[in-house]
Amino acid sequence: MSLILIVDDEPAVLRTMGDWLASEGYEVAMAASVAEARSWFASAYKPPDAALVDIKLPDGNGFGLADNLYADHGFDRVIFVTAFFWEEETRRELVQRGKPYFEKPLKFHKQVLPFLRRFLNTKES
Amino acid sequence: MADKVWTKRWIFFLGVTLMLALPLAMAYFYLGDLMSQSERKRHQQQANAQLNLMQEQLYDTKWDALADTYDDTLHLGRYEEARLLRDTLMSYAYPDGRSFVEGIAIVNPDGSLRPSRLAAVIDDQGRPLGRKRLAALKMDSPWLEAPWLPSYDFVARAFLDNRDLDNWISPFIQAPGRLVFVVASARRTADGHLACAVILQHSIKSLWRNLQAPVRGELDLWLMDRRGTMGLSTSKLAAESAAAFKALGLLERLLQSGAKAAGQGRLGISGEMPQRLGEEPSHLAYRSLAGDMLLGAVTRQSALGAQTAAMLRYLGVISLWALLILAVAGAIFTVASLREQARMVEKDTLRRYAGTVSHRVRNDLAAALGNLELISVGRLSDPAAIKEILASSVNPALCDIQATVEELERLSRGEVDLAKDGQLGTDTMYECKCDSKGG
Repeated sequence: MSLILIVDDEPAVLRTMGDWLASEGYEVAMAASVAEARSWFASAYKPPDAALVDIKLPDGNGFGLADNLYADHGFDRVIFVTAFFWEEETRRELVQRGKPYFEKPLKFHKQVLPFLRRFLNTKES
Repeated sequence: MADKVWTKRWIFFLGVTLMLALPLAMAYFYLGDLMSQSERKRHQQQANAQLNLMQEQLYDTKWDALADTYDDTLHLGRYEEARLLRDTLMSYAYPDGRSFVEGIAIVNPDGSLRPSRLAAVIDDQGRPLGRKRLAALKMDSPWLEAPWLPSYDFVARAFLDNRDLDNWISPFIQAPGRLVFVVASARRTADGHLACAVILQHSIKSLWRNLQAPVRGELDLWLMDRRGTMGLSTSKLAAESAAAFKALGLLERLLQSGAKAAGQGRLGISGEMPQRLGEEPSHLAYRSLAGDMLLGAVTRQSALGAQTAAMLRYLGVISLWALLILAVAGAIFTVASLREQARMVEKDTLRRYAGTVSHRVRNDLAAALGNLELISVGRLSDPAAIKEILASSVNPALCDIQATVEELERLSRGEVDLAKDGQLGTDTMYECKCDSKGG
């Protein structure tokens, strides 16, 4: 069973995403901030297979968190989620990084889950 | 923040205006001083040159007259007296018949005049003036045909008192209607007794009109004899200057120096001194005719450099206008810049608020749509679970969206204002970070 880490500061969004992924059979971990995410990583029994990371977080941003996770744990299976895709700065950064991303509101059934399956399969293969 | 920007911009504006005004003012005063000094110097040089010329003319007048009278004394007894005197007078007669010499005569030791005396009523050909011409001249100078003083005892007395004296110029003498002075040469017997004296009587008025006035220029002049009698003053200022000079008591000493200078072959003395006439500082320059007369020229300091002062006033007015226009332009620019900045701030505030609203609604939609999608695809079918999801997640998201729309409506109605950090005043229900890094 794949383990997915969700990092978002909006409780409703966090819960909805968790419900979706759980209904799909994934094991889900949740964090509401950069600090929580890093703390979870430090104590996790294994690294997640993927992390859905919101870009705007109260104590930092998703890009910084992704960089930390890669630097500290060699983890680079990050999928960014953002409600700020309209913002030039965020859009440029996303394009430059070349990482997958989703724009809120998410279309779970048609976009997120199919992509996530392919994403996880890529890792396994 | 806005106040700070406002203050900074206006301080900048004032700074620039001052930076423009200060060099302009310094240049104005520096150049003004420089130009005034230069013009003062030029004016003083001009005045000195005029005074020197007038001093020379006085000198020439004195010695021409003395030479003629002395020459006449040598010729007395050898020529017919009336003819001798007429020939002498003719050399002073101008073509228009107006001589500055009133008359020529021979004075006896008792002070009486001989019958050979002649008044200046001949033309330059030695002929009597025409009746009309004479009548016209007598309108101005009624004494023309009989210019003689009641007594010439003072001439005889001068030569009798000083046996070594051969030539003499009298002080100024008040005659009816005018001031005169007499140039005289003595004829003495072999043992030094006074036989007679030839005199040329000058009118100060004619002397001034015919010799001095043409070279006067704009000078305020006065002429004083050795007793301090005023021969003329060309203006009120000149009269004040002469009175102030006389009050100093320097006249006698200066004319003694003038006589001494003449003894050394010079025309007389020259000098200058500051004067304070009324409340205004003035400058007096003077020249002496040997030890006989003193000619003064006075100038107000304010009149010196008056042309420069007028020019400076124009320059000052032009500079002030230029500065004023620059200041107005600067003020307009500052106001425009502040308004532009205010518009930019408003735009930025609006952009931030739009971002805030977008973020808020997108998150609400993410929760609501995600849950509805769960239900619609059949991942959630338990009515209790659906009810719980609707109550705990979808409903709050929709309420939040409704509140957002209402907030926008309140904003459009002007009931609330946007704060500069992109929040909706203190009434906002959503916290937004100014640096856009927060969520």
